[in-house]
Amino acid sequence: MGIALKELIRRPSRFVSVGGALTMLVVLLVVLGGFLDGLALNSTGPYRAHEGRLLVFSDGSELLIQRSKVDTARGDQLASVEGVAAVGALNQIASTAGDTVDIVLFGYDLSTEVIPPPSAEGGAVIDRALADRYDVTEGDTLLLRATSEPVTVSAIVDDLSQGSPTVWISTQRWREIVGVGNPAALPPVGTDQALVVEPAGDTDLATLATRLTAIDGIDVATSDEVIDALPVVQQQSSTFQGIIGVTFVVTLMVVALFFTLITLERVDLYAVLKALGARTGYLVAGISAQAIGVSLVALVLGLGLSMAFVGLLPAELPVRLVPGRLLQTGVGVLLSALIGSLFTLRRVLNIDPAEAIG
Amino acid sequence: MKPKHMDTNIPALQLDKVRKVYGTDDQEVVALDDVSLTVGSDEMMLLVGPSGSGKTTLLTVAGALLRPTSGSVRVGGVEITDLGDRQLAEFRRDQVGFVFQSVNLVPFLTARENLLVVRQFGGSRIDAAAKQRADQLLDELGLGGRGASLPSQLSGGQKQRVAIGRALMNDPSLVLVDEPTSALDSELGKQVMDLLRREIKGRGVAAIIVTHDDRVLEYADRIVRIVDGALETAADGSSTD
Ligand SMILES: Nc1ncnc2c1ncn2[C@@H]1O[C@H](COP(=O)(O)OP(=O)(O)OP(=O)(O)O)[C@@H](O)[C@H]1O
Ligand SMILES: [Mg+2]
Repeated sequence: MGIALKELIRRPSRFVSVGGALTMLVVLLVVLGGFLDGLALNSTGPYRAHEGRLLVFSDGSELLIQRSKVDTARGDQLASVEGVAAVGALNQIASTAGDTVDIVLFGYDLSTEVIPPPSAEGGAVIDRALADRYDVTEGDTLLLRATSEPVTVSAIVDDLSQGSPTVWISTQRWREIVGVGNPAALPPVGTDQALVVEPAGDTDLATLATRLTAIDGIDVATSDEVIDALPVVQQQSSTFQGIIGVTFVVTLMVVALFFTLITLERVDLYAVLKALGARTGYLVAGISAQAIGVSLVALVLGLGLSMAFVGLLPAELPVRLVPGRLLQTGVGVLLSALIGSLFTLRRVLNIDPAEAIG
Repeated sequence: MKPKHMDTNIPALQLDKVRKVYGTDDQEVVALDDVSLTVGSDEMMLLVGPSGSGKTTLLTVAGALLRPTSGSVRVGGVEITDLGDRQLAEFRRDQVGFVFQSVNLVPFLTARENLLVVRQFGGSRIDAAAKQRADQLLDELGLGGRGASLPSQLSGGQKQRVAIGRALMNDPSLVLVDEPTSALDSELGKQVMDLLRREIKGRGVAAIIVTHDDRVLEYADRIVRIVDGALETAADGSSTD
């Protein structure tokens, strides 16, 4: 292994081709991962803002809020269950096309760790994406939908997008606005799309969920479960994960191909080293060390390039570099390189030390 | 460290009825034909013979690079034909020093590192003792100042000497040298043979040296001739003077 690393350091030019290819693959992996996370995070902000809460939908709605309709009276029943601190309504409506700005309008009762309580004066909490894109600040007035209902921005909160930016107002104000703008979409009086359950103090969420599931006619889910059930998230993540998986396979093949070729070049050298007493395992460990060394350099370069590249992308593109994903990419690339380098094993094994002499 | 050839009564190498047949039934080449040979523990033997007579094959069999088709090969009293690949690699590392016809140094390692590298194969660290030995060998080989040079910066003779140093690095009991002078002019050839003789005699190591070169016969304790895979009457090196 000592020899292999010395070669890597003293003859870096031999490894430029594979290093360059790996760097580009790292950029691809980081950017793809960034899009995967960006798309997922950008379509799940409202649910992630409800972490630590339970969400209640009607039976058979498959945890999709637009399909769900829960009797408001259920709320009282839920509130009486041990471990429940509060129950509130959650309703949403997405604006459709037009020359206005697309948003999703939420009506809500309960504050979360992220979202401040609904303002009694009918003010709105808005997603920072909306604020950034249209230069909105607190105190500005937005005109909502067909009837141009005015709402005043009372707070701006990060990371609340659900595809489009979201706007959050009290349930009462939401019903007023939707009732005027799109009465057909308004849940009948006495019903809401979903309910939010806030657990009391140190109540375990899973335990509480089991307790609530016993009640007929409703589906109870954590925010993560709701996110996993979103068809957008499922489709996007399976598509991107497919592409990412293929990219890892390509990485593995690039490493395998390069080091197989370099092994062919080194047949004489390896025969001599074997004749001098080197074992196959020692030589292959050297190849693996080189593959991992090159990958480490490629990871550093690739990450730098990706960050520069992502910085150049327009802000609307939903790319996010998440540390966990970067770590996963790093480990994946190193693992692919390691496995790829092991493809030389058979060739090295077959090198006959007797070829060294004569 | 390792069992050495302490007992001088045990020959360094014993070949007994060694046969080596290359190829399959219809294209058989008998490279070694019932060769029996004993090399004493500090004997310097020269092996001569026409091209294709089996000289290189004899070296590869004696050095555990190739298994004989039949017969017995004992090095330092140990039968090596029964050993597995791993054990053979270890055996070569510890007991045998090769100097190949083409010099075959590791091109990106310095002269000194080319000596030290054989220590690493066993997974052992390169300690101060190893470095000291490498420096001492380079000194003895007249390469004291060239330890940090890469093979590409050395002359043919200097490379040949580094290869000899590498063969001696692990203190082998048997040194096998294939045509050390064929690529060198007569002056360098003499130098290399001088050096080999000095090192081999100084360390009490047995050696088989294959050569085509009549000018070096005087260096041998014994000259063995091989023709068509069979050994012929041995001549005494001194008689050729
Ligand atoms: N790997 C092999 N496969 C088949 N035949 C071989 C092989 N190696 C050597 N031979 C044959 O075995 C015989 C002995 O070869 P060897 O290399 O030992 O000769 P040599 O005495 O070293 O010749 P030279 O002086 O030309 O190097 C030759 O006839 C050669 O063709
Ligand atoms: Mg030969």
